[in-house]
Amino acid sequence: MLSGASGCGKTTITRLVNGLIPHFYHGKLSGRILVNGMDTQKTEIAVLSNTVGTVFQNPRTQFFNTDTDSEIVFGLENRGVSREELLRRLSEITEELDLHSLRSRSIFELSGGEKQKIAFSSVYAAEPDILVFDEPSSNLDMKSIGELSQLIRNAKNAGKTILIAEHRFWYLMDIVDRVVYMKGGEIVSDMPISAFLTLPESDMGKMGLRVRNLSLSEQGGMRENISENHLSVEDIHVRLGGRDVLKGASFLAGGGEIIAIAGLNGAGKTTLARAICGLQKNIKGNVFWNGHCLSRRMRRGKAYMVMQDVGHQLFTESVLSECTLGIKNPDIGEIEKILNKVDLLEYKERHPLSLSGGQMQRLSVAVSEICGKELLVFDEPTSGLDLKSMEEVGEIARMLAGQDKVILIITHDIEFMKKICTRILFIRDGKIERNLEGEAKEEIIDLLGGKN
Amino acid sequence: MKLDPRTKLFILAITSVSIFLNRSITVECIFAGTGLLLLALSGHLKKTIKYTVFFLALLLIQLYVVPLFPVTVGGIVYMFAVYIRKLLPCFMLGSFLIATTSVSKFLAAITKMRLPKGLTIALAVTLRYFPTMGEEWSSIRDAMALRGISASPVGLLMHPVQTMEHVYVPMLVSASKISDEITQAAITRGIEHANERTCMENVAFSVWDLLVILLYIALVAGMIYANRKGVF
Repeated sequence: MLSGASGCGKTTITRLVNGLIPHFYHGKLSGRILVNGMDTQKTEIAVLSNTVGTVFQNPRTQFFNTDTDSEIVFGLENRGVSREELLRRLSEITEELDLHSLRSRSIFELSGGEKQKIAFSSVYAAEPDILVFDEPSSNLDMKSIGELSQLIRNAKNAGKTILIAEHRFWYLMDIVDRVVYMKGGEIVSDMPISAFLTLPESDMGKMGLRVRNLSLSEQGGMRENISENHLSVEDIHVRLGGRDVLKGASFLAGGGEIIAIAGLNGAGKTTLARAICGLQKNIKGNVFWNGHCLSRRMRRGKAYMVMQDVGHQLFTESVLSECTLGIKNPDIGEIEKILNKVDLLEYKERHPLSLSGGQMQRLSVAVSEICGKELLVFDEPTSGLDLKSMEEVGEIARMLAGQDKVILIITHDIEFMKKICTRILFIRDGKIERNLEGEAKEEIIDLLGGKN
Repeated sequence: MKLDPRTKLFILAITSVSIFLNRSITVECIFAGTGLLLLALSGHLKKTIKYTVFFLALLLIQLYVVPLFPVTVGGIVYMFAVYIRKLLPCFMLGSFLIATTSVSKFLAAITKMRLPKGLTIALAVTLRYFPTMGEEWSSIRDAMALRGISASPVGLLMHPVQTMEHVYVPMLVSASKISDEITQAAITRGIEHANERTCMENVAFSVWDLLVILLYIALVAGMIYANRKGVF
């Protein structure tokens, strides 16, 4: 396992191994990389691909085909394997990885977890000796992470060499043999797992690493103030594509709270958030703000969603013009004050899309503030983030909560829920099933793990 | 009826060229009708109906609405109605190609055409990008709605430049990011292998391909005749 803060060079190492550097990313490269005796700089990437298979972070964009069967055999087709052999390998891998329910499906109807399973299967079907994973769990819920860890374990038992760059460690602790810790582009330590597991918790924090065991992560997120603002969501029903996605979801939320909305993929988290923000059409049920029922249009005016792909919601060519977009007579002084609060004032002339992920998130928050939004929904704000960036997201959430706003956070990140959120709403089968606060937040691990 | 991807590319190319050389509305209707028939036969009825309605509406506008306007206004309406309509047969065949062709089959077929490897990969990435574009578009539209920017046709008419900009900037950024990621996934799985790739599905011309190609050649011949004779 390759560990270390964002930008430490983990992903670069994975790219050196699979040949994307220097065959796709060009730059200055010195030194030598040998993969199974092949010099990656002198070997064509097509030849390397026979030996090294890579599973990427984003399940949505690592497909080349639009149906699962063609995807699984894609690597073999590229090699020119005969059709009989393709079909034989396809049925073999279906048995080995238990893919029966995923065969002959359209990629676009699969959940994130199912997509990642197909991505793994398609890489595995080509029988590489070395498997490289680049943050494979970033977009997965807990149950899918459990399945992923089982797949990785199988591959290990089959004698594959496995290299995983990852921020989340807890699901790998009983699979990994060695942990490489990197910092600022250098390998600082290379330890056996036994040594990694005995590192004191305080060292982990200093190294910028996230928890090794979810139940040991510290509890935080006590609710501080009770405020005037309150949001009441009552009996929301949504039917999409012939399926009841929400079946009467209700909850209350107050200003100053940081509320996590958790649940497995497909439970209805995103639909609920879209309904509250006024983006979902044809919903039944009501949303009240301080006792006033909000129409769909009013909800769009009151609420703001910080999206997972935050680049989708930045439209202009400078940070400052992003802040004034759509505002009549903008007050530049006020805007600069808000930018200062999120540490972006010095970047006000920069192109929004040249900012880092965290900065784009903060810009989005600043925009919501300038538009006078009082209800903020974050969609997976910490996926793929290291400890420091996760804590920064937490800081932003706390700052907003301190201004009496209602904060809802859709997340799979249990460490984040435990540390930062004041309350967890567990959603299952289209309803808010549990409301966990204080010590009870611990139960979320079992709930998401599929137990109970 | 399953057509070979090469046939689909061929008829798309023929249509794209002929539709601009053509001067006859009758011939244009036949081109559109053939495209619609192919879409309908492949089971995409919703798309077929949408295109039919759109095509007929634009045709009726040209024939019956434009003459009612004064020349200046009529000229502008005429231009929009006619040029968008002329593109429709290409759009029909384009969406027929995208909806009915798996990337793997497409790759296998165009590899047989012995085009340069870089070009075949680029074509396949393009084909693969379209369905994802739909997903991206809906999340960008959500983002615009929350900022009070309208992505509706009304908004487009009121502030065309602004709306286009707000759609294009995030779309271009996401397109370049997504195609980058798709390409990486493809090359780490050996798409650049020099040998001829195989395909799980059978890729070969059938009698249907022959019929469709003959039909299109006949259409082109008909178009040339109609242009000479000045058929309506």
